[in-house]
Amino acid sequence: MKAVSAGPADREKLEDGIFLNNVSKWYGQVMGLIDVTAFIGKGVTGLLGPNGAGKSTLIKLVTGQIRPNKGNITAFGMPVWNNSRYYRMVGYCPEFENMYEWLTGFDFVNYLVRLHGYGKKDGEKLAWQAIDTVGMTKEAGRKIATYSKGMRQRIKLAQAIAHKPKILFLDEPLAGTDPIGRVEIINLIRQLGDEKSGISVLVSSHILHEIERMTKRVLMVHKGRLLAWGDMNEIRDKLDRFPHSLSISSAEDRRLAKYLINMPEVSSVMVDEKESVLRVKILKPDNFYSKLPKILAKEKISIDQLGSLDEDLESIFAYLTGGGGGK
Amino acid sequence: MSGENSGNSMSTLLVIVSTTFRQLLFRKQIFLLIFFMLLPVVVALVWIGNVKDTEPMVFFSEIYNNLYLHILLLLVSLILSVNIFNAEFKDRTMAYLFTRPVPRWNIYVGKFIGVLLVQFVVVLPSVLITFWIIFAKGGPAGYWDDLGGFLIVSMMAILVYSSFFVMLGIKLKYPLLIGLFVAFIWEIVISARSTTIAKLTAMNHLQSIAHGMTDEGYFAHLLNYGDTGTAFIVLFCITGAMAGISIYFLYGKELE
Repeated sequence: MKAVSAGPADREKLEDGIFLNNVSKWYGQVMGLIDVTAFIGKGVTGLLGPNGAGKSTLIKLVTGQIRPNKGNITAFGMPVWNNSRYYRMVGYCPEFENMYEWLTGFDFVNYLVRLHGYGKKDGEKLAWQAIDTVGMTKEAGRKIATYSKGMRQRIKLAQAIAHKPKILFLDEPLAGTDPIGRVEIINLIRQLGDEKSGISVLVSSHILHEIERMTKRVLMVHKGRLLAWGDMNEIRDKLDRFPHSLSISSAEDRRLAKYLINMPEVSSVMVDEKESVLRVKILKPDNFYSKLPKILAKEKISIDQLGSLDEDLESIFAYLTGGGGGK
Repeated sequence: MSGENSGNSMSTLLVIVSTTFRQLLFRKQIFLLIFFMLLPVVVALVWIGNVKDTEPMVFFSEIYNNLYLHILLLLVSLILSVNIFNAEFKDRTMAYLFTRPVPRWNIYVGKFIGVLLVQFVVVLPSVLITFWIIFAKGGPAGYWDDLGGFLIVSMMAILVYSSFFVMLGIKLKYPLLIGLFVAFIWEIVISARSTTIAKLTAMNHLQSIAHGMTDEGYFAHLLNYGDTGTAFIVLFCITGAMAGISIYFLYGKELE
């Protein structure tokens, strides 16, 4: 499937962010990422896709942990592989749980922040600031081996932000967190990626509503391919050529279905007897919404409810991955 | 903030060295290795309690050659060095280091120095105590000068074997079997042959250094030995070559 692009590359300088140019990565016979071209600019960008879609591969590529087999990646005009200048700007929170179990949370953060060249005092100060930001001050003196999954996520996040990076890569940062922790981390990510801060944040998740709460800008990957990227609303506009799903509730649903099926904008109509609604797939929403009131008025059909089934990322993603458009 | 992005290689090197040192020193396996290192001490204690007719230097050099050189130094070096990178690749924690502004050669040097220091802490006291037990009771005062020689041979053994095992750990996914083969087949079996091929082993060069530093005992009567200076040069060259290859592998390394 061809990617639906509503990306900002055409209007932002590529040197102002991370640019993946026709990037492919394969592991033996397995394709990890296929011909991905995308731009990650300032603010929060969500990286969406089901498990195994290629999200972690993409993050490993942009963090310089692996090299693309094809294409190239530049960040602020620099190559990312083995580039210490680039790593100075990068904060990375991996999706795996393993850490240095024998260290305390504080020692872990302090160790990694000091690898940025900070002295003992500055390193400790920054480490404590970050630990405080993620709400781990009380537990920072405990060994990581004793941490719960949620605590591990927080301390991983602390090491990623401690040195005040300009680019932040967060791979499934909400995994394993409790509901309160989720809200706190989501708020923190939004705060970090605030446009005024000038920081680029790429945050991956396979749970779409989590991303929706952080940003409208997304990269969607599936089976190694980039399906869509850019502003969610712009993506929706570009998706007009795909069927949109609606539910229409009416006392005269069968009569209404007869008129709807004759509209050129309607690709299918299904009567859902269980829920007493019509499930309608349309191709050109603007045309459809302008014609529908006229038909209803002319035929004197009243409707009780008209709802879109694909207002959220879940549906957009389903469209793009061929999983249908309804909830 | 002062120090920000200073890129101070020495500072980051020291941070890696000290963290690696702590990392290894607090592993459970360290207790097992210390237990192994007590073995020559126990043998020495048994010896002073029972055997009186063997010369202390003859006895110590036998212990040193058979236990330290042929088993313990190889074992300690293999167990500690092979995992210093390999374990971090496997549990993926290397991603934390590879995404920091630290050149990979710096990571190598820091971790290598760290693993050397831990081995010195584990091995050298054992050599020292064993020597003291054997020579404290009736040994000629002059023999104490030889202690330095044995400590130097121990450090050289740790240096050269570690450089090789660390390289295996970087390159191979499962380096232990190859490490065991090199340690206990190549180094022990080949070095025991009284032919030129023995000179291809690090063991032969270590024995040559010991030969040049002692006047009595096992090493003094060694038949297949080389020049001490040459042995030092060869061992340093092997270490340097292994370090170079390791850094080369590290620069091309992609994380899983």
